Amino acid sequence: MAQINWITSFEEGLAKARADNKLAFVDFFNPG
Amino acid sequence: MDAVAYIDPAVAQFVNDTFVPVRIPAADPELGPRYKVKWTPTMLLLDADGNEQYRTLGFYPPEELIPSLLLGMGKVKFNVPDRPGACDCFGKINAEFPKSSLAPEAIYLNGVANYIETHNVNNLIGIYDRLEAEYPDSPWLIRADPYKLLKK
Repeated sequence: MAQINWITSFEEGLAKARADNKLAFVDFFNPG
Repeated sequence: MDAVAYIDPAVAQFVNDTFVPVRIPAADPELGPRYKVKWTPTMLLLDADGNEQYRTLGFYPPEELIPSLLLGMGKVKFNVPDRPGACDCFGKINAEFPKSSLAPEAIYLNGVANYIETHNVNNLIGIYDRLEAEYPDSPWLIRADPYKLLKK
């Protein structure tokens, strides 16, 4: 099944965005 | 989003290839208030400093989520300004997702970005003509209405 490779650490996500020169796509979700 | 959009193969590939995907519970006591999250899903595009560049909320089916993210990325590039990059994003919406509800806005913004780059009014006239021909019921045609007056 296709899946998005979510990062669950905000700081880690921004660091990767900087390293990869990409925007971060941040999904604020309701875990239910 | 989990049950429909995020498991769509095209969405997953697009998100993985284009962005750094980050998932945060809306109730996060620090990030929720910082980004004024009031509803889920709230989806943001952030730069590497954490500055919000684009925001949308609510459910998207797969065929609308990719155009929405392309539109957001195009707006980010438009504001840099990286207008050729913005036009690439807007153009992809029109080429690959012409039935998207966001396609008329993409036509508008693509024409505006091209006009700013070239100062050629045909880009503005083209916005009106294309919207009139392809999306006559779109509110973006109303916004483009003055451009028909540029015709000689």
